Amino acid sequence: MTQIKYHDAERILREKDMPFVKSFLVSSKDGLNVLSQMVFPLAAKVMSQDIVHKSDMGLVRINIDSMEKAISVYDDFQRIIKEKAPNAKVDGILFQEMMSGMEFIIGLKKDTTFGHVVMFGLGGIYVEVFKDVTFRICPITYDDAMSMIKEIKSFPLLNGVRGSRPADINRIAGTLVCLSEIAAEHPNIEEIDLNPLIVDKNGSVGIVDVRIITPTGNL
Amino acid sequence: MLDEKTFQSLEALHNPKSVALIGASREEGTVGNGLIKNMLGQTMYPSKGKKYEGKIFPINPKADEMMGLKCYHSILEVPDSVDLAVIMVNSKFVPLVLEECGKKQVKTVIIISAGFSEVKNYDGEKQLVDIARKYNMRILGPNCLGFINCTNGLNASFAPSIPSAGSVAFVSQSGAIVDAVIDMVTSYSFGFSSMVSIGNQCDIEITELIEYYEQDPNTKVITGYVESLKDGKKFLEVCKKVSKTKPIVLIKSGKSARASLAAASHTGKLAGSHEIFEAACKQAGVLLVDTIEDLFDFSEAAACAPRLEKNAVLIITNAGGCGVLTTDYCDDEGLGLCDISKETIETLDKSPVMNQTYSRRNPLDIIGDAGPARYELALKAAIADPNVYGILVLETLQTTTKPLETAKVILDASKTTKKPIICAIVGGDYSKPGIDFLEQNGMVVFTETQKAVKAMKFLLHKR
Repeated sequence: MTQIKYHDAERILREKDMPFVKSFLVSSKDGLNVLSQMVFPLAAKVMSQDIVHKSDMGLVRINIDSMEKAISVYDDFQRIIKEKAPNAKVDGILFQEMMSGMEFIIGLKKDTTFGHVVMFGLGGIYVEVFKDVTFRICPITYDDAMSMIKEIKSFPLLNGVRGSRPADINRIAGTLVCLSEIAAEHPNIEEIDLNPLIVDKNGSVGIVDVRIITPTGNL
Repeated sequence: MLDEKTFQSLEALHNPKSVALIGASREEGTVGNGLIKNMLGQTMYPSKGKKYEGKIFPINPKADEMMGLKCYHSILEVPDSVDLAVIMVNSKFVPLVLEECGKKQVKTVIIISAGFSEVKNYDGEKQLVDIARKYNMRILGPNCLGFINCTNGLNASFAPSIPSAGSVAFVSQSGAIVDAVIDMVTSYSFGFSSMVSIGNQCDIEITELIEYYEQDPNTKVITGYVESLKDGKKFLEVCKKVSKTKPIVLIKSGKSARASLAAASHTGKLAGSHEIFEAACKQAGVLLVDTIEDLFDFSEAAACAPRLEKNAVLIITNAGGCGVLTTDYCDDEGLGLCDISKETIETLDKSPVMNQTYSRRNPLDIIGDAGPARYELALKAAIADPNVYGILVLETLQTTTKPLETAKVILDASKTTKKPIICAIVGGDYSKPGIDFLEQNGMVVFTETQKAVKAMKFLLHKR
């Protein structure tokens, strides 16, 4: 089981109009110009299947609040890669608009008995402790998606608590339906992880990372 | 819809005009002996109900006569046609006799014999399926307890007795559990339409039986014990359809066997096979329960009581404490408690039968000195109350209670309404006459109020 290229994974999500946060993969210093189209602050991380422990190596940065900072982060990353992972195949540096808020987990998995299954639930670092997740067998309808979202114990958080606006639940439901569609269009996909899906104080929904796994790493 | 071919094969299983017993034996203590005795209605422990009235052909090369019937040396010698055959011979002889069944144009075969995929003899089992395909035959098993149709008395199994006829079908992936269930229900007036032990499920599978019972007029509720499914998608599709007309209640084992953690993602780690099966049941409208007792408690409720049209229930109780407990359970289970209408309160206020310290709200506490007359009044008012869609009748035993008369009052009330009435008679020996009376007359009764609440909630699912 291998992850497909990040670039391809992101493309699939964007083609389906899924709420992926604005990101650009910068593969050259000149490419940094594209960041002027984005809203700071940004987060940046190195995209390379050969580099697994990115944050440990200092290859993940957040709160990049200016173009100058972005350029210096880019240079810094190049230096670290040269020093610590000179033979890694690097696809580029991914700059993303930052989103913060409640974290949820959304994914898809191929089950041997039932085929593709979608999952939704409360995310964050304690996800495997709370296991507040629900599943549905694909294909799912919009109503199936809404009912699974409402089923999680943490659903009241999505309805707006402590000053937060209610979440754009329709968008989350749409995302789940999209996952089901992607599974139908690409039956060899073994797993998709969209973790975390972030719901910010305004109720806006954004996906920050995607991993798509197939038997060979090809779609 | 079940295709015609499958339907005919399952019909031959349920209503065969003739049955051949291959491996029937005169030797005491063998499966072959137990089964032929069962077919003749001579079960080890007393059984109620009908005896099978079709033709029975014992097949054993070493006998010409068995238990008063002519015994043939091979199924091919039987002059009549044979709808159903039961094979009980050693595994190494099964392919041979199965071929003979094929040549005899038997529609369906129950293979009791063990020694196949359960002992990793996959080739041996595949061989059986190939033979069956060649002759357009269907196989139940192998390695199963057999099949019981309580409605017509067909007992093609080596179970120690059979239960009385009822309207619940039970399909089990464990033969031992079928036996356990048969023994368990002897103490209740609980009946079944059919009981199927599917064994290794090499051919006929759970999903097909579920679909068959959808159109079976003898079955109102479909229950099952499941360990593994062959085709999950088909199961989901069939259950979605069938649960629209008949409740399906299942118990599944294998919760603790987590899916392998080879997955690279959270999704993979969190999606164990039991969680996914639970999701499938939710999507398909199947009720998944934890214990065998729950399986039958809810099936009984679904078979005997009408549907709960709206989640709005009234509790009538002669015990304040029970009322409070039950309210807690309703909250836990999501069972909605309605408000009593003004008219109901007026009716109860006016009646000399009521103790005027009664609660005037839901739970309707009719006070500990309530007797049959007060239960009758409360029930009549509840039945007339448009806010009330279902009634939970709680009863504890006081000197004034008169369990049997109260039971009669409850039964009479139930006949005047389509609203489901479930009783929780919290007692034991002294309340038993009332409990027995209600059960024998098709009312749903529990001794534990939590079960009554869960059963009532389940009636929301009933179509």
